[in-house]
Amino acid sequence: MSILKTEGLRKYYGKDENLVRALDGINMEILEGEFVAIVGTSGSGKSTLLHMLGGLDKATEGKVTVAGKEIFDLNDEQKTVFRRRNIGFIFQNYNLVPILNVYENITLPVELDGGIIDKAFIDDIIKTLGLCGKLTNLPNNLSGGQQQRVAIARALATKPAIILADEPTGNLDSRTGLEVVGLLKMTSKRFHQTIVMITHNEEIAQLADRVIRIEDGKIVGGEGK
Amino acid sequence: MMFPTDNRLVIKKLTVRTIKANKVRNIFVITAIALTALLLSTIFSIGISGTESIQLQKIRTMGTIEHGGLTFPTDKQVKKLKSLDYIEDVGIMAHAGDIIETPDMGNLSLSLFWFDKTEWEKLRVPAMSNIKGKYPQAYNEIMIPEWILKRMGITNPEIGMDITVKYFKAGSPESEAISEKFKLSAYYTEYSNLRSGNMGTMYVSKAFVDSKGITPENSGTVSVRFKSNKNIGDQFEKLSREVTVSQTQKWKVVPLYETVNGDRLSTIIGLSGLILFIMLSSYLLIYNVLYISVSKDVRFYGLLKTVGTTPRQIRRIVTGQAMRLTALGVPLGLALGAAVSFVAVPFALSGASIETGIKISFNPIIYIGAAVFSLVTTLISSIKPAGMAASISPIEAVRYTGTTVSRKLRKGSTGGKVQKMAFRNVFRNRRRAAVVFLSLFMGITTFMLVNTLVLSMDTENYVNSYMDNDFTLTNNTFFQNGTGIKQKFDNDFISTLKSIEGITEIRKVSQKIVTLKYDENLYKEHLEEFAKRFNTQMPTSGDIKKNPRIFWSNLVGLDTEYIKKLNKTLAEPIDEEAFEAGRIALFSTNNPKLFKVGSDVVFTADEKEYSLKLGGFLPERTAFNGGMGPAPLVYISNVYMKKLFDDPVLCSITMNAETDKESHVLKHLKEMTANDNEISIDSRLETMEQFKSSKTMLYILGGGMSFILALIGILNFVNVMVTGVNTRRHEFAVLESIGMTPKQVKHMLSLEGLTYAIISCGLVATLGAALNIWIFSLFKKQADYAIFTFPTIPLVLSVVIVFAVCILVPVAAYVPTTKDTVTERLRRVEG
Repeated sequence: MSILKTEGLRKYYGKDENLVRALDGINMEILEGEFVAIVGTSGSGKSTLLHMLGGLDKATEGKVTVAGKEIFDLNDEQKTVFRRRNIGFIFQNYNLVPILNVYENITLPVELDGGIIDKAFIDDIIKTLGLCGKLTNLPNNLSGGQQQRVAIARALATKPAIILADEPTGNLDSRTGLEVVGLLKMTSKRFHQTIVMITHNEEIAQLADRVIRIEDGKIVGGEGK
Repeated sequence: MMFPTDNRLVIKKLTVRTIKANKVRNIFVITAIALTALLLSTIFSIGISGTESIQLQKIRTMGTIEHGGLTFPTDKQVKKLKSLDYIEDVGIMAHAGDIIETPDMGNLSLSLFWFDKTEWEKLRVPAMSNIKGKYPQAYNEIMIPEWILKRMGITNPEIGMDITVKYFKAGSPESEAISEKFKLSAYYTEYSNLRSGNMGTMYVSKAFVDSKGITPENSGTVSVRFKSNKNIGDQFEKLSREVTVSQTQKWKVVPLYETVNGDRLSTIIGLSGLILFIMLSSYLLIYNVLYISVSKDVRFYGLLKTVGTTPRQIRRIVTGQAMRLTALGVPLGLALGAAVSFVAVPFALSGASIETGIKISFNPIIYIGAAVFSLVTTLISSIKPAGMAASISPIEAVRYTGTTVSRKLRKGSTGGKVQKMAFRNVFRNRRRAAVVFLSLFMGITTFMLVNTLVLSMDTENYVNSYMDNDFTLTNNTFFQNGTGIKQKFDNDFISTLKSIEGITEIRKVSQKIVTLKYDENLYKEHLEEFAKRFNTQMPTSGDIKKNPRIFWSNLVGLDTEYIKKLNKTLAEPIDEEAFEAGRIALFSTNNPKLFKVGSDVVFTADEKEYSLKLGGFLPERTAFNGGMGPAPLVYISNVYMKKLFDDPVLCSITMNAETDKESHVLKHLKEMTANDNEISIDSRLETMEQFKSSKTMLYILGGGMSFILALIGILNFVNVMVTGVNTRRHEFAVLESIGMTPKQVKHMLSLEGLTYAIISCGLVATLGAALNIWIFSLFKKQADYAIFTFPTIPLVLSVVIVFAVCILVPVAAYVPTTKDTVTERLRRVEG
């Protein structure tokens, strides 16, 4: 069953001779429970694609459907609410809220939604990611790998339809990077999560179920596996 | 396990944590809010205390809070009044008798009265103070106000002491007066003697009036106080329709409840302007601080948005911070304001000539008002920053580095120069720079303005333009109701004056009310002008023929010395000899064209007719400030006045003295008129001192306010600079890594500060100076004694301070950031 779908997705920057085609007609479909890696060189458009998928940026043309909802039809307020309910984010630079401790960071999206904290589920995530001893620490006191694990926990906490990971290993050394992506994959299986990860690291990409290659804003291979 | 959560809680948590993470910013915002609340509460406090003190003074000098009354009321009428639902209190009093004063009391007219419980407790007590003892109950008990006791020689009254009073019963002849011993049951301070001159009252019991057979119906009054203070006249009209009274009875209305005059409107406008100015000034600071704080936290808010905080929730986080800081700043400012009001209120009102004591008001309106206005200022200030935080796009936030450069591309190759960089840095964010300029400009300009106005108030000029003479003694019986006009300056008085050492000149002004014989040719134009000027109906010549007394005026006698002096300035001099001899009379007018010199001026006084030739004109209000009738004021010489009327009443005496003897003369005059409220002294010396002290007061209050406004401007600059330096830490590290020395960075930062100072002061020198001159010209219209004085020294001082702060603060903010090495600083990522 398809959880995420794009149709003719285009994003252009600039005008006339300065026109940059960051995304030039992306059509793709991701199924529930898949762990997909999008691979491309710097400037290939992979980050732009991820931003589109998460509704963080507007497209010039085309559609993005997440869990049956076309996200460009939503206004800012609705989009934010939809995002916090259906999409989890993991960033290269972790982007944890510096004034909240680890536990508060993890539960923040749920609390923002005024939802109900599933204590058992959160505990399970925390245990799985090995964060038990760090819950009251502020993000500044954690190592990069630990911060990224908190970010993963936060992305999982709302049981989103899909998790988008933007170069999650970019700021980590290769050993920690592999470890974090290994954890990501493991949790995705354990919690039946759909994950889309972008990376330029082939080794990391190989851990995914499927790899989509993108170049100059177009998909150049790996539509299926 | 499932726990329900409310998203308000997490927003609250985020708000509180954000506040905790921004300590320096909080100090700025709280200071700004506290200063706003301080300024506003002080202004409100002065305004409301002033209004209340003046109201209290009115009530106190009136001696009662009643609205009016009815003379000789019957029991039936009293009962009827008590039954009316729009009447709050009904008090009864009766005139029990009059007191024969003893010589040592001086010139007093005292009577005995009885008040019922309501009259005393409800209507009179609020207008008195320092009440000791109880209202008389027994026949021989008496209550006396302190000032009368003092006149009787009792300076330390004691309850229960014996006091002998010689009196005669109301309605009986004076010859039936008897002396009786009373016990003092109460004494108090009253203020009505300030108004009614030498009239006073002592109070006796019900037992006393009962034993004398005195009732309200035969010699009393019932007084009423309505539930509403509004439209007293209308309410009395209603009352007089509902309560039938006999021919001999009269309704009396206390002459206190008049309509609001225009003076108050202009005060309200001025005050609102001041409040708006203060609000604008603190808006600029609070807005800028919040705006900078939000733009510094762009990443943070973007992050929250990515994680799923909606724009509305982010707005709530920002305004929530502002609200919480208000909750800290406002009480602080109000507490300071309350403390300051103890000093500022008496100080500010010292010039308002409130004789019955200044009351420092702690009316909740002051503090509620100041709190509301401060809150509104903060909320308005937070609207834009909150909107900005809410509209941050998550993508931008992730990319944001804190150093926006305006969109236009910079061209040219000389951009590396330190001066140019400094200049560009100032305008990096134009809005932020503009707010700082405006804020500094407002502070310094207000400071300049206050200084200009106060320094322009020239004491010498003020006294000269309002007082022609060193001393003026005025006979107040001309202006008081009730006592009738008395000769206060008799021959003895004048000869004592003459014996005072140092007096160089004594001139007298006498007065008599006369009726002028109406002559259409001479007075028609004058009468038309008079009717227009005072907006009254012009009496027709028929009216005047029927009742010649309509055309009345004051006949004023002047010493010829006046004319001698005036002749030096008059365009058409007056024949002094003819004036003294009584051949000519002068009219008081500012428009001589209305009359023809040489006409016959015919007037009637004491049923005799006199005729003189019109010999010239004096400016209006020359030497005489009394009332004006429809006929012109006529001046004749005092010599002639004496010839016509045996002992004309002197209304004022003006004197000049040797400069170094002025204080000596003043002391003598005060001794001569001690305790006599019917004579008032105006002295140049005292006027000067009063003026000087009110100048000092204006200087300190205005200076205090402009100091705070200037402080707000400087705080704004300091905040911009400190936060600017902090967000640019990385950039400085980059600059240093490519070869800029820390000294050069400091130089660049000083230049940035200097740019702020130069531009702000440039604005002050042009726009501010123009504003200053314009406001001075407005002020000059109100106060023509003002001489434009540019406040050079204060202004130079303040400019020096501004420059010093602007140059030093940026460097001071930069130094602590240089503790780490360049590489460490380069590696550190924002957040």
